[in-house]
Amino acid sequence: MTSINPRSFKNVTFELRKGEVLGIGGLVGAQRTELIEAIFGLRAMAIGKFIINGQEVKIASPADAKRHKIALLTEERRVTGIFPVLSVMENMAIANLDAYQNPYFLLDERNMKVDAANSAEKLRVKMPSVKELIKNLSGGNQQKVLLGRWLLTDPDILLLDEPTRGIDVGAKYEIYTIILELAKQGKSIIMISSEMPEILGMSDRIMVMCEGRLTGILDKENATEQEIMRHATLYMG
Amino acid sequence: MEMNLKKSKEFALQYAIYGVLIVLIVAIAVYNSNFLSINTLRDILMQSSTRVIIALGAGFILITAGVDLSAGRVVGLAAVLSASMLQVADYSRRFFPDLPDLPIWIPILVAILAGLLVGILNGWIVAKFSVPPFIATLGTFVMVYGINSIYFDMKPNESQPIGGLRPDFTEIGSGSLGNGPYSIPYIVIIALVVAFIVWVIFNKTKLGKNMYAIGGNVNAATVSGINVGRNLIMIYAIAGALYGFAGVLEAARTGGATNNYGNMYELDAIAACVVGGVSTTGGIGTVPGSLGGVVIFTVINYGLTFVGMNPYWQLIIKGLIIVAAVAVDIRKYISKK
Repeated sequence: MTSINPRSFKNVTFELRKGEVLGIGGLVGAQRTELIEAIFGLRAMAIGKFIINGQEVKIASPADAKRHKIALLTEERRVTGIFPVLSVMENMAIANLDAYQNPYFLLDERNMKVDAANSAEKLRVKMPSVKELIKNLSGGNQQKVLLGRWLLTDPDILLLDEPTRGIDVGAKYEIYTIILELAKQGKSIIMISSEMPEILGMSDRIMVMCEGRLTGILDKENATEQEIMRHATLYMG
Repeated sequence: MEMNLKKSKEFALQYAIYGVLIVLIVAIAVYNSNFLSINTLRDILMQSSTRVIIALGAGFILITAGVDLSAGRVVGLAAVLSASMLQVADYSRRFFPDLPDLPIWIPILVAILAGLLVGILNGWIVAKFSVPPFIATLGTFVMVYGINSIYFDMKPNESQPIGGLRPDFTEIGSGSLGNGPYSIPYIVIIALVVAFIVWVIFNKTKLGKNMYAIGGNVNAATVSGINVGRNLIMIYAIAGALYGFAGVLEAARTGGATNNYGNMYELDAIAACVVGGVSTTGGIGTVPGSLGGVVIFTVINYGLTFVGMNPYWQLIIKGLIIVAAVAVDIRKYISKK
């Protein structure tokens, strides 16, 4: 994959295995967010080829990505994640509305509510009810709702961009548990993280980027903080 | 306890406007007890009917965090278009002297389609070229007035008011179901049916949910896989069709049309929505709220005229209410931060 922007990612090629957590390490400015947003169809690419289960697929928009069972949890929860003035239920259901449409093009609100409530319970979202506005929830609970939004679409591939940024320790731990559980269910996960303990502890493999280029893919066994830092600064200085 | 206090304060802010309405009605009734009559109610509902349809169109756009200034001019265009094709055969100044009697639905459909086209144009400009809605619809506002005026000025009409409308058409605007003071005007029934349809779109369809999402956070809507451009075009198109339909009803209600019909109606519609709780920052707004807003404005208009207040003073009061309503709305928004 190569971005149309010459300063962004170039010649990045990797494969993602079923049921693994692939961490993406690197410093700020390594173009990691740009890379996964491009995978999700949010950014244009000069060269970009995706092969899912042996089939080449075209992803030019988030709608395409959804169709191929890809989900994206963005880094900026407030800017590109939540709908502050809408309820928890609406925030959860928004990416999955097709599933609630009956043959007359009307939405089945009861199903929507049941799904949202179940999902909130599974993810242990703390809230008074699914009718509560999401802006009244804590950051960790908002993040869980966003995760719930994508889980309702039953994705095979989850792209998580700094999934625990700015949330409290308790919720952080819960999100780790959820991610590992999803991997165990056979979902493939790409997780960008700038926190060393997080990326080392969670990932099966760690891919490191520096200034838009892929500098190495480390196995869990030989990944250390020093190795990651060495790869993350390979083209610097 | 503190939570309860906060909740009740929020509640009070939310419904403050209905308090204003009640105070207003009581004050006018104390001043002149004839105000409280079935005829007053009937007049107020009739006057609200076309405004409700326009306000619902404006509400669609406001909820997406946009604004549509073209509404009033589309009303004018639709009124002229429908009226020009629905004159009685023996009227001396016919717009189309040799036009045969058309089935009534054809001119109505043409007028609604004209509104729909303007709406599609608005949505396309906003979605495709990222022109701010205020400017995009300001442009079509001016253009539509120009187009309407050229049509209105065609020979042999040459900018004369269009009159002599067919009775089967004016019946829609001024007729009633039943007789006497308890009859229900058709136009009120039509407005309620339109309001119900819009309520269904807002609450029970994918388009409605997408509309709230786009207004609530357009970036998050994009990430969620919503095709923002396509949804915006559909929303502006529906709004345009509603303005068109309202224009048809205005022609039917008043029994005529000129190119100045609908002038400034968009401002009344936007004001009514805002007073009815539609947020100017997007993502918030309900059909009952918009209906309430329209009725409040009609009560102010009608009530203050009823007690004989100088119309210029009425404008000042209207302006104050609009500003107060937005200030309360913004306060709700700020207090959450």
